[in-house]
Amino acid sequence: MQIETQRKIFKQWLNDYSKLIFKVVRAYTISSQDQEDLFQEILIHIYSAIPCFRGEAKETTWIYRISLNTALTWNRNEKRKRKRFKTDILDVQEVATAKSDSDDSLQNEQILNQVYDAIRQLPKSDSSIILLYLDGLGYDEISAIIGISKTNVGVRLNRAKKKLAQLLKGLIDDF
Amino acid sequence: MTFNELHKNWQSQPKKFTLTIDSDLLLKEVERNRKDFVSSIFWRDFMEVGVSIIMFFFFIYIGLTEKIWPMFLLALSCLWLASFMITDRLMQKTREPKFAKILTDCIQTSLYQVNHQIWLLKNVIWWYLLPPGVGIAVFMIYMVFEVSKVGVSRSIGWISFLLGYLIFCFFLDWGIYLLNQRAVRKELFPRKEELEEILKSLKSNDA
Repeated sequence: MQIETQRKIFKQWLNDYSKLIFKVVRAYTISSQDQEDLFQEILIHIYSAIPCFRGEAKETTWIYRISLNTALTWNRNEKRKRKRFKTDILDVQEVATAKSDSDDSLQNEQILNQVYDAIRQLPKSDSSIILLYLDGLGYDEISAIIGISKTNVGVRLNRAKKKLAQLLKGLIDDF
Repeated sequence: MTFNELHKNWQSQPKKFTLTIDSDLLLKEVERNRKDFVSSIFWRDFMEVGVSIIMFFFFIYIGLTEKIWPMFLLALSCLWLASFMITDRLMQKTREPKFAKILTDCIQTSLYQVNHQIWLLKNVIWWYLLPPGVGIAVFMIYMVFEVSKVGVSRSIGWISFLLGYLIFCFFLDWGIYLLNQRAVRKELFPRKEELEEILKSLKSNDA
């Protein structure tokens, strides 16, 4: 693959999937420094893996795989192996909302923060399944990303949902 | 709140924040960082192997010109170190984790790497410390015999220095060994357990 094509794909994916990657990053890290480091690591792995992308899997499947693999095997103690980017790469800002729904928005944000906290407390394998489920992926896709059978996805997801509901007692009431 | 409601809330997330990214700048950073990383790994390997090869020729040269046969032992140990490191790096290159593969495969490869690191550090005495250690010990003993030829009383200073140096080398090696075992205990074992746990839990219902 030519370097120009690789660059073009990377920029395109960055535009299309940076929020998806950020959700994974947020589910596995707390501090902004760790988030930057993990985000950086994922981007480098995505860029390096582009020449191997043959289009056999969906782009999202591919991005999820790399992001989750990096997050699951990312070692906080080893993160200094790489030099950090010279510039800050993450600039996350809340979208300004209309005054009328700002209360709802604040409440939603608090709920999401609680959910992220709970996800971080789950075993890493469960957190990846919950993350994919919440992002709306079907059993087929989750199975293709993680590498377990669809039946197992169902079993594991149910178990993970129970654990999440326990951690979010008072917030989730259908378990 | 039900899971369905949580689902909807979660999916509306991207609309609630903007992620400002300068893709041109980021691309440059990614390429620079990747280049730096590859080059730092290359230079680390080059230094380790390069120094061993230079020392090999140095010891051969000294051995031949000064006719000190223990130098050949030291040269051999350097050659062994260089060969071991090259072979190991080449073998491990094919086992690097592929991040675009399914999770279980990637974790399996990461686990293999951690296990290999543990093996290397646990056996550091056999492949890294002992070969040059034996060479140094033989060389020192040889030198003690050589300098004592003029009489032990006249060469007591030299003998003490050589024996002191030998003891220093022993403790240095011992320190390196302990540091490596500490790294295994404190860093690699917890990492291995963590990866095994993830792998076990992912595969538990597929068996």
